[in-house]
Amino acid sequence: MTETELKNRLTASVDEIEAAPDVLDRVRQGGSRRLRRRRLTTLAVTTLAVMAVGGATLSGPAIYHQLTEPPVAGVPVKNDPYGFLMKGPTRGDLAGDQDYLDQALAAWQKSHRDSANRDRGIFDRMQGEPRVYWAGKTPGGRVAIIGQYSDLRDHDNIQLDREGVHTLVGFVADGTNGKPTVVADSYPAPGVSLITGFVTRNTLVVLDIGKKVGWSPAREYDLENGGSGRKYTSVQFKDGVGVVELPTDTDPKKLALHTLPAKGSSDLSVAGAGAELQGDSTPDDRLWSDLNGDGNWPMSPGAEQLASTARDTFGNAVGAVSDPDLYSAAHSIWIGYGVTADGSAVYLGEQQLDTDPTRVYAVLQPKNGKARVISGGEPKRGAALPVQIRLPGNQGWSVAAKDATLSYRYGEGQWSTTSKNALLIPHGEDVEVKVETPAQTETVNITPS
Amino acid sequence: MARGEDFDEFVRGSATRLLRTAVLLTGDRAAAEDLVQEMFERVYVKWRRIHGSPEPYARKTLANLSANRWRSRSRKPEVALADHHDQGAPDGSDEYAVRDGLLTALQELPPRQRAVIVLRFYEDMTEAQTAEALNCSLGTVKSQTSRGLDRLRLITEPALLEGLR
Repeated sequence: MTETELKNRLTASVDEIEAAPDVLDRVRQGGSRRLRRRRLTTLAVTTLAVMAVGGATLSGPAIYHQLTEPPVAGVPVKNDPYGFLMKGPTRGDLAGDQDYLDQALAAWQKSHRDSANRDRGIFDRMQGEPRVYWAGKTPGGRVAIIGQYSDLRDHDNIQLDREGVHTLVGFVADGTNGKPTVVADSYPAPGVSLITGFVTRNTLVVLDIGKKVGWSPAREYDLENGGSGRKYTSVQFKDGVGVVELPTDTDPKKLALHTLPAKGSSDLSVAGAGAELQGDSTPDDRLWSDLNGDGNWPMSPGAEQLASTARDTFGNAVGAVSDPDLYSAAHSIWIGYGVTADGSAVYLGEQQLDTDPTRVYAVLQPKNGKARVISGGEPKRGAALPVQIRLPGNQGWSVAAKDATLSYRYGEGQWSTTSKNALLIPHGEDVEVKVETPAQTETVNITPS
Repeated sequence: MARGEDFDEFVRGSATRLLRTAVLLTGDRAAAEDLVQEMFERVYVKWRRIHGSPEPYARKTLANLSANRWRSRSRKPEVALADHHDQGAPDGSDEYAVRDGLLTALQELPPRQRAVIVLRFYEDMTEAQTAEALNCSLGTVKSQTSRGLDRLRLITEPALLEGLR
């Protein structure tokens, strides 16, 4: 059973199930009830807090927690990923600048209200006092890294499989007003890479976690061999952190960290970088995703036999040479497949990694031997023939244009028989492709001199 | 976002698809409807704080609620899912038998394996997205996927395989 078959079967298993027509009404009623309950709870907590004024010194939330939850544990868990931040004296060349340390700590304590992690409840049960792990001057200005214990609990906005007292981290840099400002905070979220770096201006600051770590400015695509990946440069750590001055053309959102030697997906990341941390904003940039029907596109006579395995063959071959360190891959919804003059199978499709632009690929599978991935680079959006990939070894071209009727000819010769959406063209000189749509007919020379 | 037309549109546009996911996760139409109802109510409460597409948040909430349901079940046993006590009688067609068979096979997987299979292969989520939705590591997703597929193959083949060919 292939993965495609499994998907088809899962889909078929539930394709007759429809939501009840009154689902919206019931959801609105239930949702309104929940909102009212929340407001009443908030009111009750506030009332308790008011009652405490002049008597006990407990705050509203503290009373609420005492009434509803067992006493908090004060002992940090074992294997606390950021636990090292709470050990030893403050490091860095600003460690003796108490005025700066005080400003950084004050910035940390004021920052929780505006943090993206506030809704996850990570600041609800802070423990003890925060401390500065490292403070120093960098090419990007003054930097402080702060740690503080917090008793993390299961929360309706995030579930934790590691409840208990953990260390939170705060990354502080000089803001636009020159004052220490929290740039990012984090906690050890299960299933998500550990944030150990952040960027301030032109500088990447990386926490030393006791392992060799490399940094990479961006994913690279190999047009020759169809692959993609990253090259990592070792971070030099000193006194607990590594400071990297970034090239001026670096996009901080594309930065990545990886333990060295880099293999597979990374367990480390840079605050605010990578598709993983950009959450819901990952765009679907695929060339063709609005197919509303069959995306199986035979490209040559005799291609039908390839239909059932085309998607898996294409996906496996392209996946094998793709960057393994990615958050999400958008796979091709359409697939072209055909047979070349020497009997090799050809598959055509696209793949988008994270927020990078989508790219088109051909996979050439000889009768005997290993499949080869040929990159067509970024498709020419808006062109009459957006996908044009020349196959190696004089095997011709594979081209595609959704909803178009395609044919080819050599020089001034006869037009070939037509093919819908995608076409495999045998090797030849002076090749023209006719692209016919209901709106227009255009001829494209794919072998310009 | 206010809870106006946008929210209504989101519910109308996603209710059927998310219900189908919930049926695969639970194997039980009634339980799936309860899950989807609770999920939408939570989305309703959080609506103003959801930036961007609400879809990923909804899917994650559904997966989490489903996980919580398993935890409850481990304390308080429910009627076995494979009993199909609340499903209509099969109509006798081969197609129906195959559908029924796959749902049954899916419910024979341990809950985590089932969720990983549904999210990865029905919802088309990446391994990283699945790990985040289920609050587990990438390594767990990889191993659960592999084990789940192996078990599903053992359970479904050859009878189910033949049924769909």
